[in-house]
Amino acid sequence: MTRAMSPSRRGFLGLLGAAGAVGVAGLAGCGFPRGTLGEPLTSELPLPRPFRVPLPVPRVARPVRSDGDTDYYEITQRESEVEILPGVRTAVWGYDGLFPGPTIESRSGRRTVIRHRNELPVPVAVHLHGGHTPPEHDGYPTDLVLPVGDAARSGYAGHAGRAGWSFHRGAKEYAYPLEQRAATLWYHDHRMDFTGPQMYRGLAGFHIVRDDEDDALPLPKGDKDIPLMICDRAFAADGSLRYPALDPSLRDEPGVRAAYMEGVLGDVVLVNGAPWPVLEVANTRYRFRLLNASNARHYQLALDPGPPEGASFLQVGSDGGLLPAPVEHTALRIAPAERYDVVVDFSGYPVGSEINLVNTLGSGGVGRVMRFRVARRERDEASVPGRLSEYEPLRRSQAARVREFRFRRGTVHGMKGWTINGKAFDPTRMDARPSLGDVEIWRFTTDFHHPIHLHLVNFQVLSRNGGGPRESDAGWKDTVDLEVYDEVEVITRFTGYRGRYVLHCHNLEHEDMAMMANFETV
Amino acid sequence: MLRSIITVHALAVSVQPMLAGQFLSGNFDMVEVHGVVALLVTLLALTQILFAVLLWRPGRGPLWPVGASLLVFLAEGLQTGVGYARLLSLHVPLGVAIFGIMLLLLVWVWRPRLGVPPKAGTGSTPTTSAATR
Repeated sequence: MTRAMSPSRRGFLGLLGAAGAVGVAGLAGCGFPRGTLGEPLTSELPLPRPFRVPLPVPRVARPVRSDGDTDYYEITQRESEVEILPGVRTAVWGYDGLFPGPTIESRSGRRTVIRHRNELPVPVAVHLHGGHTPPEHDGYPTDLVLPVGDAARSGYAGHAGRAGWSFHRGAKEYAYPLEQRAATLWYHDHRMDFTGPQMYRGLAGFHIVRDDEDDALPLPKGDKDIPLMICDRAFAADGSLRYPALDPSLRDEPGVRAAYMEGVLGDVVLVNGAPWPVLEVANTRYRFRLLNASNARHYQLALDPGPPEGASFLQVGSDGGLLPAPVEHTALRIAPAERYDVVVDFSGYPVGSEINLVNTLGSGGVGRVMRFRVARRERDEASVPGRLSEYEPLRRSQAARVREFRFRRGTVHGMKGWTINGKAFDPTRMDARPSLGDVEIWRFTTDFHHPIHLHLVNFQVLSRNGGGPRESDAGWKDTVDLEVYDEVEVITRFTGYRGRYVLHCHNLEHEDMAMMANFETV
Repeated sequence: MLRSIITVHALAVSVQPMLAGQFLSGNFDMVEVHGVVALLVTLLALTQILFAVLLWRPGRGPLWPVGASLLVFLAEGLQTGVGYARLLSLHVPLGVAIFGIMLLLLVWVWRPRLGVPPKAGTGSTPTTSAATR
């Protein structure tokens, strides 16, 4: 037999074995995408060693004045130099020059007015993500705040007089009624065609709404209630944030280089603006308000090592506030713009333990997020009750109508882009007109990974691919994660304000490449 | 000849899950390449049937490769339809099955033929049936 086998044949059989192994590995890869879900950018600087810098917590903004029913804030959007990587200066665009911006804390039902002054070289729009906000204050993408003293610049000035566009010179007051439950909201840039690069440069911050119901629960409070903004960035050799914009000045030509249209991924994971930070904790419960503020990256978060008993994360809230009852997760998949309000119990770990928050969808640097170090022993005052909140679950039978939105790759102004129902975004075209007070089911289908976000309303996830929702779909949400060829139905009641709003994919490169549609509440 | 066709066909089939994996992990364009390769794979399957028949008659080879090739062709037709219909729950296991059959055919077509003594002086020499094979 050996004699009958030519060297070439023997070599071929070896190759065959290898090809078979690769093929099988590829097949396995089919079911378990590595979750990069975009195009990675590599930093041109040596990256810092992880778990060296302490976790920063964004400062809470103070109102400049308050009256009977309103708190007034002023924020200046400007460029500043900050130290993100140790020893490296990085220019960011920040709210008050900060990245992340200052945290706004509001009481449910108490009006918050924020005057945004724009000292950046580009127009901006501010969207309160998750806010139940009148249309003129929602940060519609073509409702722009022009730079102070620079209103005549070409490019955006060219839009003047075009239908669907409006401009504010130098500043705008955004007024938020906040007649909504306690929840972890966030505010970020929403400028037409440029949201991706402008948020990437730093325009994002937390806006936390509190209410009596949430306050009355024995959940961890004070310095044990910590918002965590997770995002990925890449750095250029000069320390600047690296982004593949066609027009790096972000003034005229929108879009990214073709290879990056699936979404831009960085190779450094930042939490509250710090690379792979570390937080010293007591051996007690903590409440973490997780936000994925990345342009495109999805994370599957897990604790390494997991707690000796019990689940790693006890989810108490979602995008839209408290769940009816806590939900246990050993791993938590979080898509761009989603929030998960979780309680982590460190009491099972001995003092001195180091626990990594890891991303199991990534490997190497992007497989790490941050570290907790159990530094001290404390009596735990907090607990997680079995019942958290109550709200009306919406039923299919209540729906006045069902609408379909197909999120697909398509042609946008003659080029490759992303479409909804085959159409590129057009600020003058209304794609749906729901009536205030009506319950509707909106059915989303995808050809790729698309986290889908609705302005104005929160919704409940009704079904996924004909079956029930995932455990992580629980509660009121404003962003729902769809994977390749998914079909998800959400149900909502349109309430509040009449006017023009958008729904869109929150992969920001998809959004900037036209994956957005309008609805008008009537 | 059948050996070459089966080899190229099996390679093309084995590329498919890799392209699908690339697509799922974030490279959208790979799904279009996946579609083009699917067309190529189907054409290869048709050609493979033709040469499997020739191996049988006039080649005096076994009949079962004709059946196996026909089965693969039908499965691949179905697979393409299921793929375009986005039915992933059927697409992935069917892909594994096609890959498995192609692997068996590949091993069969390249296996050293026991009981067929090689001609003196050479390592592997075409036998009667291997002329078409």
